[in-house]
Amino acid sequence: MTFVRCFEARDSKNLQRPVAEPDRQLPSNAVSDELLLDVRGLGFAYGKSAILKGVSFSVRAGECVVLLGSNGAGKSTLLRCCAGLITPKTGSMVFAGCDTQPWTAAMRRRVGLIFQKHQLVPQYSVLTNVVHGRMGFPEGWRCCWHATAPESVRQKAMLCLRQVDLESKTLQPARSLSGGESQRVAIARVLIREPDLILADEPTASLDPISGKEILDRLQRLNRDQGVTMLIATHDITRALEYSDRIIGLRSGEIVIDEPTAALSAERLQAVYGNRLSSEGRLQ
Amino acid sequence: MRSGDPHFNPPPRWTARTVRDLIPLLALAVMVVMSLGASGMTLDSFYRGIPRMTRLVRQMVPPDFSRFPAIIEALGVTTQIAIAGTGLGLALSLPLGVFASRTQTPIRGTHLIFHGWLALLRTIPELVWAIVFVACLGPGAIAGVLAIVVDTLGFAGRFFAGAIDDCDRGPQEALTSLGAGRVQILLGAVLPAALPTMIHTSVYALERALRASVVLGIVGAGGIGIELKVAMELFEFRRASAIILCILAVVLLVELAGASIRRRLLAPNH
Repeated sequence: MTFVRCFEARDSKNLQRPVAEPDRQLPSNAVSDELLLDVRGLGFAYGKSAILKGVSFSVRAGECVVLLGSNGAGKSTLLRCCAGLITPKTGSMVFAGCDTQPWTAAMRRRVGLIFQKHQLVPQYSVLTNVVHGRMGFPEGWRCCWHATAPESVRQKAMLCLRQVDLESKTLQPARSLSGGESQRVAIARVLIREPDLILADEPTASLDPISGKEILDRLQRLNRDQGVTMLIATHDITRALEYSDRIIGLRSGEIVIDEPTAALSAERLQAVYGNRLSSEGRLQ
Repeated sequence: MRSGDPHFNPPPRWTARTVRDLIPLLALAVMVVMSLGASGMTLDSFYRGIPRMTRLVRQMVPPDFSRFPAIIEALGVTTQIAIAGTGLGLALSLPLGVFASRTQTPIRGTHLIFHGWLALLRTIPELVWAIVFVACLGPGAIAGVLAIVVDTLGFAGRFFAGAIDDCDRGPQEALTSLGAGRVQILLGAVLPAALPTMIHTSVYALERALRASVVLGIVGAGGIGIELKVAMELFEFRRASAIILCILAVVLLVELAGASIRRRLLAPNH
């Protein structure tokens, strides 16, 4: 796989991009200086096997950050820590200015996690799965099924389904959907929460290239148009370069790259993939 | 391929480990044969019984339906005992199954206590429970219902706990990440996944209870059992065969209804 062309494409895109004038109003996708997520010295181990070793990074509001790394690098574990699904052994995490120990319900409401295998409830309808997104909210006790959910939640769910172009499949059971459609439902389930931060754990890994691109396009639109902060884990270097503002590279549980995408070179990616990536940017 | 190279030759078909793994199976086979011998069951005794069985079957035809209204009435009681006992037993099995499940028990580590309790309920046969309840409450349908409740509880509770534990953890993790509570995860992800097994278990529990409630009547727990017992004791085999045919018809009806329930409830919905 050649990355040289990707780098060239990225550079030409940057050249064509107009330079923002100082007095021009910033678009909704502008990255602010406010830190949304600040991770310091995060460590996690399964038994004696250390997965994360003192990971430190921060994500600013409105930023789209991609986590790169090979299998077992610790990307999924890091995202699970950031989503409050697992508690880190060491280190601290600050989300929107609040310490995440413990994770409060209010903090959790502002974060949405998209899984690699979408993890919908296959027996329930598309609409019920989207309504599940409101479970952590005060009205959440009514959100086990769309039939019992408040009307406002049902309407919001329909809007989210329209956003992912699935309003025609509202009452279909989730098990009847294709992989791409299921992942779009998973996105709608996160959207109904109106989150500040979306964490996506290899959202395109189980999809074909076209569906994968479509999912990433949707996530990019959310970031650009609605200013939702993204932290996306992926193996796909080409798309990481195309979609992200910044790339964080993980190797054996440690951060080896944390650079703006525009400044990243093929040689620097060798720090993530080692000998498997040639100096020309080819994966061997 | 380089012939003779140990890396390219397939492993031997039989190893010491294969033989060691077969030992428990051989031991089981030996135990079955020894138990058959100890029970006095021989081919000779089986052959000697065939003429008597043939004579009994001949004495049972044609069935005598002269007491049909009484049979139907008693069969109605038996069916009611089975339905009431199964319904109550299943309703209690669901919370008990949750408490006995390793993954969903509200009090971590206590699932073994509930498992043990369910095992105790299963260990004692429903006939013994019926004798206990008849002794405590007197003869009648209530003793039969309670015996079926206890039996269903031990059986269905165990299967419900297993079905809950076998559920895919992915959707549960997704709901946890959405901030769902324990009950929401149970209703939103666990029960829909466990439902097919639960429905199969429930329908089988009803069929099982119907068969059991026939036998329970013999010890005074109400229903058709006592009719069958009296007919057999008075050597009225034609009447007994009529009762057996009626029981068979009800069991088949329940099985058909069960299949229909399974089809309807397991169809995609919501």
